[in-house]
Amino acid sequence: MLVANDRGRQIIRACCPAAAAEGLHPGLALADARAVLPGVRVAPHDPAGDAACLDWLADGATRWSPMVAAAPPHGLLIDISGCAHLFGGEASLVADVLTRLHRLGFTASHALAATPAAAMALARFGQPRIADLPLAALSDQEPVQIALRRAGLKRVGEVAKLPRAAVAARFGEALLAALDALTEAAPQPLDPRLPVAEIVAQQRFAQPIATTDAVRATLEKLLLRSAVQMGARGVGGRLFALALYRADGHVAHVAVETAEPQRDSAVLLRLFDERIAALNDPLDPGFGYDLVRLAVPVTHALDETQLGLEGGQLAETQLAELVDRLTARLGRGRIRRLARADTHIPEQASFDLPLASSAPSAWLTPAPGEPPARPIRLFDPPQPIEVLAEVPDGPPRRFRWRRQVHDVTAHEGPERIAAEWWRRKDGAGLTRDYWRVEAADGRRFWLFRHGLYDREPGPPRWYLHGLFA
Amino acid sequence: MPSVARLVPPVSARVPAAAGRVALDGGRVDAALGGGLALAGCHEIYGPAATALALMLALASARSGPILWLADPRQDDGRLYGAGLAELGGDPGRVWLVNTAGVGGAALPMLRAAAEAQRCAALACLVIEAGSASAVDLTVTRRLQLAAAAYGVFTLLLRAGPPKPSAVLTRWQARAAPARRLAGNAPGPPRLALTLERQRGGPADLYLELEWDRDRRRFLPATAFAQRAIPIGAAFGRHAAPVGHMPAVALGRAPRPASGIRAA
Repeated sequence: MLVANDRGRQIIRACCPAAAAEGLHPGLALADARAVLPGVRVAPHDPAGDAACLDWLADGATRWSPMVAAAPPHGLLIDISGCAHLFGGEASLVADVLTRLHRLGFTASHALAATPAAAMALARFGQPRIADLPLAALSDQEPVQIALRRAGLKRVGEVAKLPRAAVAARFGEALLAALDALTEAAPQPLDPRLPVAEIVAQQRFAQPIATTDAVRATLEKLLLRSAVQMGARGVGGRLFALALYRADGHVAHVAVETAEPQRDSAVLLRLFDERIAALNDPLDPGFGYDLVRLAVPVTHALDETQLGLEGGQLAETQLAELVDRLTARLGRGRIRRLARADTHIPEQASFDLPLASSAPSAWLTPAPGEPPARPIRLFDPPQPIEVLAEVPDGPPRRFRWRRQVHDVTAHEGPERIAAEWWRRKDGAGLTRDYWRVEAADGRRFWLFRHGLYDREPGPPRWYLHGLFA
Repeated sequence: MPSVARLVPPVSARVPAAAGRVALDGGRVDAALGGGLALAGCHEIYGPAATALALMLALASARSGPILWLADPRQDDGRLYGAGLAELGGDPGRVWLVNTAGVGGAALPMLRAAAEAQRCAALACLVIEAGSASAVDLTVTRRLQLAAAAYGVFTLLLRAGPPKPSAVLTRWQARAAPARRLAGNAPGPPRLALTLERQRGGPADLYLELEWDRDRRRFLPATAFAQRAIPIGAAFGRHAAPVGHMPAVALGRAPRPASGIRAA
């Protein structure tokens, strides 16, 4: 028996058939239930766990059809249009579903119908025909059911015979919509849990496979088969999703992405190797996989190509493959390139963007013959330092950074960079005076004084912002 | 007034680097290295100017393709700054930063990524910011060196702190050297003080000072620029004429107790 806290009372949420036979039902207080059955076993209700379990089941159900939707709290919808013949007809498909669920320890009722809502209602009420369904299948609201009963209606079939306008007028549009959902009047597309791929290759096994080598060999076969499909359509895949269905219902997913459309099975096999090697939880075959499916949900046009004779294209292909392998190993967005922003604020002028989603930016070429004006390493945020200067707004003579005193032997500055007052709401912000300095040991630093003496509030503070070559 | 250009020996006088090598000083050190720093090899750099030397070597190698930078997010010397890279004469867009933090163990993802990258000959340079990772041991460096030699990827291993045993081709200590003074006592182009500490199968313990020529993307030996002593704070005309040549000591013994210079 599962109980949950409801406004300070322990309420039964679900109970087993044996308890139900004693007259217990969901909604009853735990104290009342204990009065009937003193020895009843109680566990807390875990809705999130239930939902996760249902999702897990829905995942496993993709072995029968790609169109699977979970119908909380305890329903699974599987669109078997065009799938039944793969399993030897509807009857044997249903038998397979029920056997597998039973093996997992679930009790299930099922129904086949033309619409999802009808299938759900038939399975729920255990009726063979839609017309025989009770009124509860139409509306779960007590007032509507009472109103229908007062009108002398008992079954869905009787409501369906009434004129539609009259039904809408007396019982509301919602009832009419529910009626349409049970019949085929309104289209009801399923919302599949996973995107349905156009290109799919799969392999079933009467005897589950459990060794890595067997899985790899199967994967290679599937990659070759999908490559043939993609070649016929002139496309290449950008995303490859491998699903390994374990005999006990668990499904393991491994996916690789490529930067360029790809259908070379050798390259893809290597990417999968990388991905599987980098998995946090290694694949656990358990008692073995009895179905392996490779889907290519994202494709792009890719024509048959011949490698160019010049090296440029070869180098680009090599680089794209390197990026793919590193992405497969490390994850997306891990390879970044330096990009430039159009601002004077140094720490905002250069940042890094993911390589895949950015174009190279144009950089300013420095004037020839001049020493570098910007550091090669930048501290963000700048590091506070203590500075000794000869005159308050003059160049620094000596500063202390990381507990070490540096004597300034050469300097250039100041380069004055004002705050971007036009971007700030208060129009304020302190001016920075940047100095390029060289210390006695030859190291070159980029320092700035934050604020101007007298003209801006507060005593100015000094920061170290970067390190030069 | 002689200009800087006239103080630099003409390019023809410098010994050009052999194919597949980077010229450093165009003189004795290059000869000791067998014609320059070999591109098909793994070189270890440590010291405060390690980042600078790695960037300069990558640019001086004149190879096309991206510079793959396996960044160490734990190092505390700030992030690579694009505008500063442009000021060194490179295209910052060519630098691809790879962040391996948080993928499994500490240094292992970085080393695996390095192994991947070393198989891609289209890279101009591979920079591995290993920091003080203890995983980078003798075996790992040997593997890096073998792969660099086999696939020809110019590999630079940046490390922090005192050197540990390694099997790389060369090991360098890179520090900043005082730069030439420009007008108004401004520091001039970047200058590095390098010590070749180890070289496999070759002479080592060589010290040299190099200045980076940003516009031509090459190193110039500091000896090419004569310099006079400058009192701090005094103002000078830019590219001031040398008063009494006082060539900087540019080649010779390393300033640490050394076993002596082996014959080149």
